[in-house]
Amino acid sequence: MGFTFSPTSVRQGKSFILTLDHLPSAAELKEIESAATSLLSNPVIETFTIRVEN
Amino acid sequence: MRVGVVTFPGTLDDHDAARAVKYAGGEPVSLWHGDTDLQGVSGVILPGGFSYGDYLRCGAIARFSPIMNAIVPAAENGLPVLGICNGFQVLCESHLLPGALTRNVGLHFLCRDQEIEIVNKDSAWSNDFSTHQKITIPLKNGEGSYQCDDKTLQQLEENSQVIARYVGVNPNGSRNAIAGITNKKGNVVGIMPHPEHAIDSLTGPSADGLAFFTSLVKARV
Repeated sequence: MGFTFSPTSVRQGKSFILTLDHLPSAAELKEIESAATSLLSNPVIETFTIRVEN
Repeated sequence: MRVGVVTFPGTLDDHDAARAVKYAGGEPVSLWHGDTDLQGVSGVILPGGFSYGDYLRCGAIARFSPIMNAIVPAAENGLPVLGICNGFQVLCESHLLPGALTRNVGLHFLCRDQEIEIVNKDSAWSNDFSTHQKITIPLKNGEGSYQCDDKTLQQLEENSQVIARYVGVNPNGSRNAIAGITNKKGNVVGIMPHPEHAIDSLTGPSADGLAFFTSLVKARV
């Protein structure tokens, strides 16, 4: 198709963007991780990473 | 015998499941997803469809419904529960059964009459079959490929928890051609093809599916 870039890997997947009006505390981050494990992803077939951006 | 049939928003096959219970000689009891009362039923069916629109993942939201909050502990205490298609997905998401159902290997939705072999007739929902009985019932799913890790697969095989396997082709790429499994106690069964659509040869490819329902109803009369 004429593209010349050559990535070493390609990933397609879901992302969930949660917006808070403050940076999450350690406790909140833990709760978000729990939601990611039990609801947002199924660890049997999926993996996830959590990233906090300011 | 009273058998509960759960309706989630997006459930399609609750009426056929209720009809199957009636054909088997039982009394179907409608259970609404927002209720928490199991109304004293002696078994529960989670029918096929697209609970909560299959948002997030198939069965992922249904798992958190009020009725599932009542069904999960009851099932852990031995209440017979049969999950068909989407119901199977709900049982996996609820951790009542191990593994997960993923997109069919060809990525297409499948709809056809499928031959399966009953390989375990000791469960609450398969004891009215004969050993290694081959039956033909409709298969209709987009995410029916049964997946689990090697250790879980080995345990399923060692404990005879595989209830049924696809015969001939493996239509959706399920590990070990698994069409249905049970938990260790044998009271919770998940099956991907649809026995409730095959209870009368007038309206289905066979009447083979009826034995899933008579398995429960006869045993508990």
